[in-house]
Amino acid sequence: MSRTLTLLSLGLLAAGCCGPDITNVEVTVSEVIPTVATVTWETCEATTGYVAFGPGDDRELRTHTELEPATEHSMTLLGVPANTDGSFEIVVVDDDGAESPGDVGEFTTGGLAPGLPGLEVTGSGMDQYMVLPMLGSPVGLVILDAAGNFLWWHFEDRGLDVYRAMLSVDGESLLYNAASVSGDVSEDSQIMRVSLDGTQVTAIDVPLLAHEFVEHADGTIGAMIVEYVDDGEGGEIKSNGIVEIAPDGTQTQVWSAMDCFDPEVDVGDDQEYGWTFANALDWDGTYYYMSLRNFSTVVQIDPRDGSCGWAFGDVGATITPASGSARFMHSHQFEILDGGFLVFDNDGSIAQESRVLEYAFDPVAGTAEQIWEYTTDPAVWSFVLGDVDRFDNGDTLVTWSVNGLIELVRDDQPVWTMSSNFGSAFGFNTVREDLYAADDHL
Amino acid sequence: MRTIHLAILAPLVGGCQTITMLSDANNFAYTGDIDAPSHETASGVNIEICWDELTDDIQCHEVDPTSDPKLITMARFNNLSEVEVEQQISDDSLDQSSLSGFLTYEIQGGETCAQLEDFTLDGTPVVLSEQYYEGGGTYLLLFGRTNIPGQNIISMDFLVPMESSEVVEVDIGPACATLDFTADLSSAESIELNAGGSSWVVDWGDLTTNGLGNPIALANIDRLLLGYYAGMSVADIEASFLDLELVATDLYYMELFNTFEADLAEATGASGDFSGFDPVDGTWVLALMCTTCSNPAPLFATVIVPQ
Repeated sequence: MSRTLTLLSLGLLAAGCCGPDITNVEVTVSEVIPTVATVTWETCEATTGYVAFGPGDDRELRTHTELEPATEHSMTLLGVPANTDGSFEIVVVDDDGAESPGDVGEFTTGGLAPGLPGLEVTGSGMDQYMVLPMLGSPVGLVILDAAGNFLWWHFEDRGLDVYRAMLSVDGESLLYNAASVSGDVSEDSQIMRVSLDGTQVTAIDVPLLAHEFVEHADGTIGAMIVEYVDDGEGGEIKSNGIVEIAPDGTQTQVWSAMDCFDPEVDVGDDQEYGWTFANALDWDGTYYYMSLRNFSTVVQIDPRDGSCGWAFGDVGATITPASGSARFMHSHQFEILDGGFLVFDNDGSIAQESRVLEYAFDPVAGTAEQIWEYTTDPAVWSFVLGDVDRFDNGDTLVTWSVNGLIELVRDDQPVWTMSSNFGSAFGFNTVREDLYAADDHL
Repeated sequence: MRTIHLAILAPLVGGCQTITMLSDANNFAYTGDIDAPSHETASGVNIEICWDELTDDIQCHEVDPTSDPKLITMARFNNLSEVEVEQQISDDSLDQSSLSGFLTYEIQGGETCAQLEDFTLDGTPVVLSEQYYEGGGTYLLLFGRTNIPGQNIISMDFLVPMESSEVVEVDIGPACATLDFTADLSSAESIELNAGGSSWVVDWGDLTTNGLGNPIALANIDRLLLGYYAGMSVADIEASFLDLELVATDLYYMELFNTFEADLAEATGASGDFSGFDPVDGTWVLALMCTTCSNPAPLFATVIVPQ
């Protein structure tokens, strides 16, 4: 009995010394990307927590909450502009969800890297972040806030281009494609992963990468590739496919354009540059949606069996625009809305002008009727790339990629614009309300 | 709530060192008026472009036409006239959104002629009649020293496709007359630094404008240049400002990254590390450069008066 009491006492004593108190707090600004800081702390008791932070004393930004209780913690702070004094507050979350804030710490971000382009922002109404590939000078990827501040950057200096960049679903890194899609595609193309603090860069070899990739909720990457198919006459057909890269690195081709289209029947434009010439890819959790540039068609793809559902547009289409509706041509990115379809139309205008088209779209009924068109003033021609996003409030974000121009359009007027100086263009635009993955994504 | 200070301390530059703050009043001013030659050609057809006579660049520096040019870019502007393009390049206000198309040609070693029909859209062949035609816009032909369009420009010429023209050959000549550059160092307040010593720290974090009076991109400053010009007055240097690196008696450089200050003691040159302003009878110039910018002018330049 006596011994039992002693053990109990020791247990109580230990519990008394070991609680959720935050100790050994340190903050380090990255030497690679000096706008990024890493906060580490310890707790005697295994806890979860997050960090609220921001410029000055404004700590409205916050990281995601740790998934697993731990005694040693680390969080990366992303979202504070360069050369800015910021503050942070570690918040411990107990099993019941109750939050216990710790002390307030301070940090100062460093300067920008040389070579980032000049950006001019006008207007208001934009409140989203953008993960943007940069083309021209420099080549790389950046994260921008609505004020045009560079929050993060990474340069790609191997002679490959970057067309799509995104935060990974786990919020721990950025992904981008290093590829070349003009002329001959590159055998050396890769999907790249860069840690938030820029210190770790890893690559997945994916030969013949095309413009686009997506990441599934489980971390699987779906990548658009070029494939060369024997035409049966001693030549090759430059076609497209989709390769999935599982989190363990296994690569599996889940779709080929040959599965759904016939090179003898489905013949689009500019065949000398390729048959289908896929140039944009989306994923809704079940289906891929791929834009085929030379078909001027967007097709729904089921990766489970390689079949195709609807195809909207021109060549190979199951749905075409209604009579009187404008037709899109050589389009790039698009967005499938609830009952609608939004597309960046590179070449559909009579003049060399790009535009955005919106259709009332019912794939079940097989109908598509144009309900909106937008062209900037003066009109620009983004002869490649181009992106469009519709926000919940009805605003439309248009990325005129080649022209280094992004517009937030409301009631047919640009209310916010961002433009780059001569020599710098944009790739596809990945828009984020928050730079940290929602906890339910983890 | 207790506040703990965990900020990374800025590197200390020495316990008793004096930091000289550079201000906009110290910065030189310049104008760079561009008047690029125009070449009328036939419209919608192949044009042979030759540059064997491109023997100097827009800064009047010597060019080897067989080895220096690496990339030819033909940029098209739908909504700008030649004068507007020249003006916007001159005052650094040209936006990418003004561009309505561009074709490039990577020069192979030794060649001095190229065919416009071989220009591509970033590697993709184009139908020339859809890209180069009368009424298609203003066409600017740029020769550059790198494979990045718009960087390290050697020359600028306009091509003007005309239905009435039968010209199918264009000769690109010396580019020295394209840029009329005027630098004003003497109106800027010089800075005084100790002639001797072991440390001369300058800080440019307070600069707000460049030599054009436009907002300065401090992040783009990636090189410091310290030059000594024996027997040259400030007026002499102004007169040969584009040759700042060619006419110097001694040159010291520092590569910069992610900083707004530097100790000149860390600058190095052909004669070794910088060790002081000796001799003091010539003129010393401090310049902050952007080596990745298309505009070759320093973002900041000022005269140092050793004390």
